[in-house]
This record gives sequence, C-alpha cells and structure tokens, in this order.
Amino acid sequence: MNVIEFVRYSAWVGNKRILHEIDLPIKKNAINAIIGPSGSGKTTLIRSINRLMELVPGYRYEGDILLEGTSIFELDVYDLRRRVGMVFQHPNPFPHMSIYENVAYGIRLHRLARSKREEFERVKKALEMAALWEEVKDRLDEKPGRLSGGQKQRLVIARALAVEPEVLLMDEPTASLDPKATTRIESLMKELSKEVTIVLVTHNMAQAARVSDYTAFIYMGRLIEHGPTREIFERPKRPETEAFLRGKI
Amino acid sequence: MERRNKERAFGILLKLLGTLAALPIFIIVAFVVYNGIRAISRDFITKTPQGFGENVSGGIAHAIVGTVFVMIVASFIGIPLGVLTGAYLSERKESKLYRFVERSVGALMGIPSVVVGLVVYLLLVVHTGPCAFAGGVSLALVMRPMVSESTRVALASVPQEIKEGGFALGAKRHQVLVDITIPAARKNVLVGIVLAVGRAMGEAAPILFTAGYADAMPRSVRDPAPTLPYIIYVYALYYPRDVYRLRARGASLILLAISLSFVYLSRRWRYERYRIRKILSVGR
Repeated sequence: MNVIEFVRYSAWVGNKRILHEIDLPIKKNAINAIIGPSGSGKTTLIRSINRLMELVPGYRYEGDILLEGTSIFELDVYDLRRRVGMVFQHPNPFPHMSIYENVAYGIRLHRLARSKREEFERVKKALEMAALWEEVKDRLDEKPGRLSGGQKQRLVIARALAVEPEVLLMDEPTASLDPKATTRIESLMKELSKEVTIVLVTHNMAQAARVSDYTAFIYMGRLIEHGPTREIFERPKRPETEAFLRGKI
Repeated sequence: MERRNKERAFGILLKLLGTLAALPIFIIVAFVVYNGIRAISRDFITKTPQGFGENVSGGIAHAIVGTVFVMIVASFIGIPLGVLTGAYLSERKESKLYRFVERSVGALMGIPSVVVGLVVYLLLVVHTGPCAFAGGVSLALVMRPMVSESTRVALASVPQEIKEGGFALGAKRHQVLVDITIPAARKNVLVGIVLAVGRAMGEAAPILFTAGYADAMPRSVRDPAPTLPYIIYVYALYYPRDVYRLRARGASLILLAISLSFVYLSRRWRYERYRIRKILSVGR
C-alpha cells in the first residue's frame, strides 16, 4: 500500500529546475530509500514531502504529492508536519531545552497530552522507541550538549516520534556519525519501520542495500528507476542505475 | 636559519602590536583612577551637593540617580524596539520592507548622537522642558540601532538546522522565533543589550539638550535629571576651581567603573556562542 504518492511532481528554485515530473510511490511500513549522486535532487524530493521546501525563497512546484490520497498542499502545514516527521543530517536538538523538553516540545505544540502525567508517558515511550530511554532516564533535565553524536541523533528521532507521525523522513541521518553509531541507527530504523513508514535519503549505497525494502534512484532531477531494493541492486533495468551502482556516476 | 629568524622577528612584531592595542585601556584606567580616587568617599556617592563655590561639599548622588532614571526610560523604549527590529531583520529577509528597515537602521546608527539630541529637543523638549524622560528618549534612539544590530547577528548565528528542527515539528514562524531562536540566542542577545546600555550611559551629547541639569535629586522622570557625563562636562569646564575639577575626576571614575562592569558582564556571557556551535559539531 502506498502512503505517499508523487504524481508528475516537478520543483524549481528560482529559474533552476530541480525535479522533473517524478512519479513515485512510497510504501507503507517499509524503508523507502532514495539514492543518487550529490546534487541529483534527493534532498529537494524529501523536503517536498513535509513542505519544508516552502522555506526556500523562489521555490515553486507543479504536479502533486498525495498523503493517504489527499494532496499535501491542501492540508494544513501544521497538521502535515505532525503526520510527517523529519530527522536531519546533523543532529539538531534544541540546545537551550533539556533532554525531556526536546521530546516534549512537539507534544506541547500539538497539545497531544491532557496532563503532565500523560506528557511524561509519551516522552518516555518516544525515548524507548528511539532506544535512548535507558541511557538518559536519569538525566532528563540535562541539556543535550553532552550527549554523543549518536545519542543526539536518537534524541531527535525521539522528538520526531513523540507526536506519533505516520511517516518519518530521514535525510542522510548517519552522515555525521561514526560506524558504531551508524549501525545502531540502522537497526533502529529497521525496528521503527514496523510501525512507521520511513523515507531514507542516502548517498551511501551500501546503507540503502542493507536496510531498505524499496529503492528509488534519482539522477539529475529525474527518477531513473524504482522497485524492491534487491531487484534494483541485483538486476537494474536501466544503464544509468548500473553505472551508478558501479561507482561510475 | 634566516627564515627562522624572520619568523621570530614577525612573532615579536605581532606581540608588540597586540600590546600596543591593549595599551590605551590601561592608560585610561590608570589615569582616571589616579586622578579620581581622591574624590571618592562615602558622601561623594550618597549625598547631593551642598553649598557653593569653594565651600561645596556633599556628593554626586543626584547625577547617579539621574543617570539611572534616564537609563530606565531609555531601556524601556530602546530595548524592546531594538530587539523587535533585530528579530524582524533576522527572520524576514525576503520581504520588500526588509531592505527599507535595514537601511534605515544602518542610517540611524550613522547619525551623530548630537543630532539625535537636537531632534529630540525640537520635537519633545520644547513641549516638556528638559527632563529625564526626554533624555531617555534620546538615548533610546542611540541604543536602538545598536540593540537591533546585535540582536540580528545573535539570532542569525543560530544555525538554520536548529530552526528547521522546529519547523519540521509543525511550529509556526512566530513559535520558532519565540520558542527556539530567541532562547537559543538568549545570552548573545543579552550581551548586545548590556553593551548598548553601557555605551548609551556614557553618551554626553544627546543628554546636553534633553535631560537638563539641576543640583538637586530628581524625584520623577519629569524632573530635570543631572547625569554623570553631563556633570563631568560642567564641572570640568564651567566651574574653574580645583574643588570642582576634583569632583569631575571622581565622577569620571564612577562612570568608568559602571561602564567597565557592563563590559565585564557581557564578556562573561560571551562563551555561550561556542556552546550552541558545539552541539552541532559532531563529525565536522
């Protein structure tokens, strides 16, 4: 089943066309990887889904993106971003808030808890889902500054999960982490994909092959090929895909 | 060998230039302390002037209180205006109004403060008479561009990724500004405010026309308010007696001490910038 569907979606920033008529389904409760060389439009694609592209001056689009059959451009952006969470390349916890407040921020923003007790339970659940609870349960009032890079990244994953999104966008979530932290985030993604649909942008092909269920290959703003990850990696249909997988693009 | 000597010579030159740059502050502080310390006493700080001419006694408490009055008014007007302008300038880069506001703030910073004083005199003082309120208004105009510029820089230095973290959770523009950007830059905003207040406090020119002068303690913001820079000026130039010169030196020492403590305060907070950076520093 498709949670998200790109329908002839094109994007421009100023006069520059970034994406060309993308038709792409995103499968429910699976890890959907988007791979491609730098500058191919991966980040624009993923940032279109939660309309974060609208922060970019000069952005405009054609076509449509559907979330459960409804155009995201007709949804209230505030509701859209509750339903579609995001994790960024660099861990970006709010530096002035405590670990607890970081996770509680979205809950408070969307008024999802009716009592302090309920808020705490939701924060705890989100931290448990992000496999961080055991490490931070005794220091919830501390600022996130002293956490390791991997812990910070799991903290912002918890922050995104706390509002119970249907989709989690992850834009190169391990690019700034060491191999050990990367492995942890990858197994976490696998675990999470049972309940949440994950869209993973990565330029690390090995990562896409390891964790994803479906892969889409984007090159120069065009969707070249997409399908189950194993098929894409073992029997690519298009010469560009094969060239990319062999490191020639 | 020769290259090494050159490098050493260059190092010594740099050290020399660095020392030279630090020298004026020591000269000024030493000079003011040396000349002013004799004037300082408990009465000098806590009492108003008594008697005239050679027989003057008491202190400059009226000018300290007057300075506080003027600065309270200036802060109440200048800080909110400055912070709001700075927030606007850091957030709304794409709007057409932006360039207009940016330029007018820049221009305001370039206007000599004596002209600011004169304008406030013509628009306000002719109606109210010289008073602490008018003095505060003129200093608010001097402070505002300083506060808005430092606020703009402080807010702009909050990494875009942190603000995007808020947007991605569904926060609206004003929520990101109020919940995330301003608190994350809080200390740097405060540093700018403290420095601007310190600078404005030492300004004499706009006060000349607006705050007025009296030998008595101001009772409200509608009274003429003697201020420290003003009495330094008056005592040093218009009362050609040694006893007044000494009072001017004592007042200089007090003003310098207050100003430097503001600078010190702002320095202590400045480290915060690195903490915000540190949080994003993984793997960079």
